[in-house]
Amino acid sequence: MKNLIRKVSSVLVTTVLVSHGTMVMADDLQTLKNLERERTGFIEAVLDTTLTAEQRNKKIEAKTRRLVDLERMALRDRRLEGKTDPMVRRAFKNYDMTFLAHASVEQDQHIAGHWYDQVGLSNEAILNARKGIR
Amino acid sequence: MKTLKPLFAASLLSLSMGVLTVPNVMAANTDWQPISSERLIKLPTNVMERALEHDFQNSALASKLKNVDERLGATQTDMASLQQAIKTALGDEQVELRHQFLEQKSSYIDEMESRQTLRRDELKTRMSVYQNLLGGLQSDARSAQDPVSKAVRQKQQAARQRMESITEQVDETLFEMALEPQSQYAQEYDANFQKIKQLQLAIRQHTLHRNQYDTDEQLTREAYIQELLANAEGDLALLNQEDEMLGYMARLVAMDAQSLQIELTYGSIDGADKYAEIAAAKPANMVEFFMP
Repeated sequence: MKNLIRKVSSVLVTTVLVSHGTMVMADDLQTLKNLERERTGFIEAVLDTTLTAEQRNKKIEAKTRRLVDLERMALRDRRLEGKTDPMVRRAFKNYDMTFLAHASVEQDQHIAGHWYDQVGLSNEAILNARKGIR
Repeated sequence: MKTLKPLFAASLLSLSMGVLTVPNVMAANTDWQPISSERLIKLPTNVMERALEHDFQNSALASKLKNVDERLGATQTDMASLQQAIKTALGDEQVELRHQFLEQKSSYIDEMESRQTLRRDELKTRMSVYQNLLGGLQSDARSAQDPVSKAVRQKQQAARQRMESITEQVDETLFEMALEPQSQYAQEYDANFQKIKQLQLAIRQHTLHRNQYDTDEQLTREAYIQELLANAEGDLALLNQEDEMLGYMARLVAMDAQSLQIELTYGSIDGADKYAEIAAAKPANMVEFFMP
C-alpha cells in the first residue's frame, strides 16, 4: 500500500511539474517570430517583379491563408502577455500593420492594397512620383 | 582493579576532552540540490510545499537524517537501560556501568550534533528556496505594475478583442467565398476551444481547487511563502537553542567523567563518611553520654 501511495504521489508531482515545466522550456516569442517570417514572405510576394499577375495572386492567396492562422496564434498566445520585448512591443504598437489579414478584412480591402495603404503608397502617390536624386 | 584504573582514566580523559570540543563544522550542502524555484513558482500554492517536501524526502540529506534519528533512538534506549542497571549494581560493576553510561551520553551528544548540522543544512536550503520564490513573486508583481508591460497588455487585449470580433467575417471572406476548407489549425482550434471550456469548468468544480480558494482566511501566494519562511526561521532559532542545551550537556558529561576519573584515581569519597563519623563524635554530641 505504502509503495502504491509513493508511486502515485511521485507520478502526481512529476505530472504537475512537467505540465508547468514544458511551458517554460518553449521559446516564448515563437508564434510572433513565425508570423513575422510569413509576413516577410507575403511582402516579398507583393513586391516580386519577376512574378506574373496570376502567379502573384496565387502566392498572395496562399500566404494570406497562412497569415490568418499565424495571426490568430500570435494574438491568442498567452506567453506574450505583458512581455516588454521590443519585438512584442513593436508588433502590438500597430495592429493594422502586424495583423494584415484580419485588418484588411476589417477595412474591406484586398490584403495587398491594405499593406500599400499602411506604408503610405497609393496610386496617386506612385503616379505623382518623379525620378531624381534625393 | 589496579590495571583497570589507568585504562579507565585514559578513556575518561579522552571522553571529557572529546565532549568539550563540540564540532560545529558547516560543510556546504551537496546532499540536497532542491527543485528550482522557477519550477516551484509555477505550482499551485498548496502543492508547492508538498513538492518541496517530496523533493527533500528523496534526497541524500533526508536519508542521512533518518539514519541519525535511528541511531539516536537506539542510544536513548541504551541510556535508559544503563541508568536502571546502575541503580542496582555494586562495586566494580557499577563503575563499569557508569563508564558505559558516560560513553553513551557522549555518543548521544555527538549524534545529536551531527543531526543538528544536517537539520541546519535542510532549513537553510529550504529558506533559500523560499527566498528565491519570494524574489520571483515580487519581481512578477513589479513587472505586472511596470507601466510598459501594462501598456503592452492593454494593447494585446484590445488586439485580441478586435481579432475575435472579425474572425467570422475573415473566414467567410477568405475561405468560404473561395470555396476553400478551413485550415487544420482553425478546425482543431474550434473543437479544442469547446473542450478547454469543459476542462476549465471541471477544474473550478474540483475539490482541490475549492479547498484552495474557499478557505476562510485566503492567503496570497506571497503571504503563504512568507509564513513558510518564518516557520523555517523559527525552526532554525530552536536549533540554535538546542545547540546551547547540547553545550551544557557536554559540559556536564565532561564534569561527570572527570569526577569519575578522580574517584578511580584517589578512591571514593569514603573519607566523607569518616568525617561524618568524627563530626558525630564531637564533644558537643557526646555530652549526653557524660551526664549523670
